[in-house]
Amino acid sequence: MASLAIQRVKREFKEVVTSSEAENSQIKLEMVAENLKHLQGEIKGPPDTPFEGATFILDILIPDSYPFNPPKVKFATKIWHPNISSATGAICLDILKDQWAAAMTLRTVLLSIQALLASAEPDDPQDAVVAKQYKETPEIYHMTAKFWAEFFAGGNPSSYSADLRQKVKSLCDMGIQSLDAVRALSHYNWDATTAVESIFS
Amino acid sequence: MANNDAADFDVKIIKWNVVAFWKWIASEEECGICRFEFEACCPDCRLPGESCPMAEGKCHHYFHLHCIQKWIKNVQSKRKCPLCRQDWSYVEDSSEIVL
Repeated sequence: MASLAIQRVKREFKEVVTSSEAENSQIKLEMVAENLKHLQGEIKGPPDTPFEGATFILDILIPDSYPFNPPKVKFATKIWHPNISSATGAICLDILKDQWAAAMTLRTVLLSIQALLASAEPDDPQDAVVAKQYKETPEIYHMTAKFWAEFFAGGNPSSYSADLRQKVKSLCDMGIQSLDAVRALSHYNWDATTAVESIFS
Repeated sequence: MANNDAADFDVKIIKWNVVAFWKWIASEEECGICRFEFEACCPDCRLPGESCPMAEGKCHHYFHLHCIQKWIKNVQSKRKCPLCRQDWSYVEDSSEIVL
């Protein structure tokens, strides 16, 4: 069983490296450990989304039962998206769970995750706070997602990023870690007073 | 004359190498599960050929028999084809190989 997993990953590596998507640097796959069981994926944020221009690192673990069971994939880069946990990077995507099929590959998984960034499913959330913001105040969601992409994933700065950075800085000046500051501000729709209260209460 | 002809063809066969070529007939080159060619065997077998046959589904997708058996046994599969997600069942005439 384990040998099938490794042999298939070897072949899939070739598939990803020689793919047109890799050529356009949309997706990337690298080894973390020599045994091919722990990989690192990389996807580019799709155009016309808050994630455009950003690069996201994915942590990929290959189970011994691969390809009969899906790879375990989560975001290593922080991201603000209804179907991805802003705290742990866990992904809610059907093909990584009950809709997995043995003919799927790491290439199709990376492309599916990239597609998820372009089409969120707020009714099947992994992060309830993000999903609520996405549904109730879409413009704040868009701004926050874009800010996270810029702050954590090298995305392009937007017209409001200076304002938001200033808010983050004002919290950091109170001795709050920048990650905690970004999280609290994002959670409370960038209302600094509520965000600070939530941290010190 | 006849004797001479016979002498001309007095060939002694010392060694005879017979070469044959075989191929599974499928619409795909390789098994969608293990990604090895059908002419090679599944990762659990050592010898290709009848001991590690190819299986065809009613949806006309092909896999190594051993690979698709493992997939169907897995709860994750819900007994569906890994390529098209239709309910998996074997094509009748490949059933003799299936046994």
